[in-house]
Amino acid sequence: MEVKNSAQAGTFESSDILVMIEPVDKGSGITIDLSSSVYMHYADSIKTTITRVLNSFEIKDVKIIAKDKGALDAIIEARVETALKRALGIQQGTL
Amino acid sequence: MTIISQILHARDQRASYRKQFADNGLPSLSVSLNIAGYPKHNHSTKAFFAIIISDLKEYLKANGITILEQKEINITDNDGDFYIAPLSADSDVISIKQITEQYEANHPAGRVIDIDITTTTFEPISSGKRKKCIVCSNQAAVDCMRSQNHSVTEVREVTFNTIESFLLSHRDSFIKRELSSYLLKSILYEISLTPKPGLVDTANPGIHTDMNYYTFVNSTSILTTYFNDIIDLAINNKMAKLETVLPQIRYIGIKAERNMFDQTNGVNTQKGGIFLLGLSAYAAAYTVVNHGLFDVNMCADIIKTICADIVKNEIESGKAENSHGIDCYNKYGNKYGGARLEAQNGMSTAIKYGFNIFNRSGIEMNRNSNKKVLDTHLFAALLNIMANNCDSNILFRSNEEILEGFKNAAQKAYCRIKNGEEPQSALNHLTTYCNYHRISAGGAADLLSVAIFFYLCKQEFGKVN
Repeated sequence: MEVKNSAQAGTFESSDILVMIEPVDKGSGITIDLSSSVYMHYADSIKTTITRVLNSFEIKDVKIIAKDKGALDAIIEARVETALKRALGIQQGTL
Repeated sequence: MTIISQILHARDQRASYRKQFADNGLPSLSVSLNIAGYPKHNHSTKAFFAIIISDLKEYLKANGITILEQKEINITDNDGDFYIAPLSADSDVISIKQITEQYEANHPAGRVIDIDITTTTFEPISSGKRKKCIVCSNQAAVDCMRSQNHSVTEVREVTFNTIESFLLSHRDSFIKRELSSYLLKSILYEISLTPKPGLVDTANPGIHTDMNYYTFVNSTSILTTYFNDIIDLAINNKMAKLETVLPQIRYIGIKAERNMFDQTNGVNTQKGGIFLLGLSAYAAAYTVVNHGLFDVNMCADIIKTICADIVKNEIESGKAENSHGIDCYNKYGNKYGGARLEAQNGMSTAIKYGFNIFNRSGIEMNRNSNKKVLDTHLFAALLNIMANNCDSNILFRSNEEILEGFKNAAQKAYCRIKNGEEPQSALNHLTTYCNYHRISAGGAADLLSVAIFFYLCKQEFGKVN
């Protein structure tokens, strides 16, 4: 699927992650701009989790800005999924 | 909705509160608890959270930080207990963050508490400090949380233990503060009651030539700190073996006594009172701390256990140093054992003739400053005690016949007070009797304090919560 709008989900609270999605030109691929309070040990793991959700939606081109405060995988998946659905117009946003 | 999406939804809701304040140009302060797993709130977190919020507000006020309380929001949802209030628009959010971090760092349950400051641009203030893990303490909480170093069960156990032990010590300090104030109040009520036949009151020193109202104020002022030590004894060693605590209580009581004499330049104002109220303080604290509520009979049994055979062991054996009680016991027999006999009997005179007067009428004694109502009840209790107590303070200065005459006169005065007569006239005859024979019922005065103390305890801690 193709991301046409910006959207976000999540909060700045600890053990949560704020995920912002921005559309990019077709063919530019996936970029993940991640900051995390557990970056040193978990940056790769968080990026893998984010990518897994993107793949399940068959997203090829997108920019993700993620601000993580130690969220667990299930939370990351849920936040990325909600942000994506908002960006794709499948789900209404609250923020 | 799954639990996880309910929690995330609750977090979104919280973020939206912060955003609303930010959109109105106001930074905000929010508080939540770090509870791993689910559910994130229960009876204990609710009690804990309420204490924290009230305490934090006082802390903020003390530090000159203004929160707009009329706009505060206090909710409990799937993400647990949550509080948010806007800060004044001109707040220095960086220094507020530092001050709230100090609060967390100094609080005994600080690792459970999360205080967040959000700017007017809807950004969290972070000092970059990493809170330590509540379980292992040597790693940052966020690291242990992310790597799931500890099972949720383990984290929850440590968290709830921290909360429970905080609640317990909070309860203990509440009990201590209340009991301490009742002890002081019971002495102040007794000494302030005027006019008392023979005894020192605010208007005159009765038959006494070596003390007056101020002498009592001086000695009373020093006693509170020792009563607090006695209460601590019960709190710090819960379920202590009662048969062995008397020397520990006495160890404090003797210091109190020495300081009383120091304050009065050697005059005995409250030696018996220190003994009786000291034991009562311990027994009341023991009862409330261990049983969760105050019961006067339970309290009496505790004192009986602590002071079992004290008359035999200390008076009959001749071991104790001299007191009016001991002299009277030796001279007139085992009806007259002074404060020791009263303690051995579990404060039976104070309870039967003093406490029961208050208890039957149900007078509201805490936060009551109605002079007429208080005077009537206090006089009734004092006179009823006088009419029935074998007061060694009187006997020491006279003989059995004069004591019996005093008791009869007290009985008559008690009836007149009960019939609604003004104290001044009701007490007239008894006052003349005391002045003529130069006697003063110091024992009855101490017992009145004990009765007041027990009744105050009952009013606050007598009901099951």
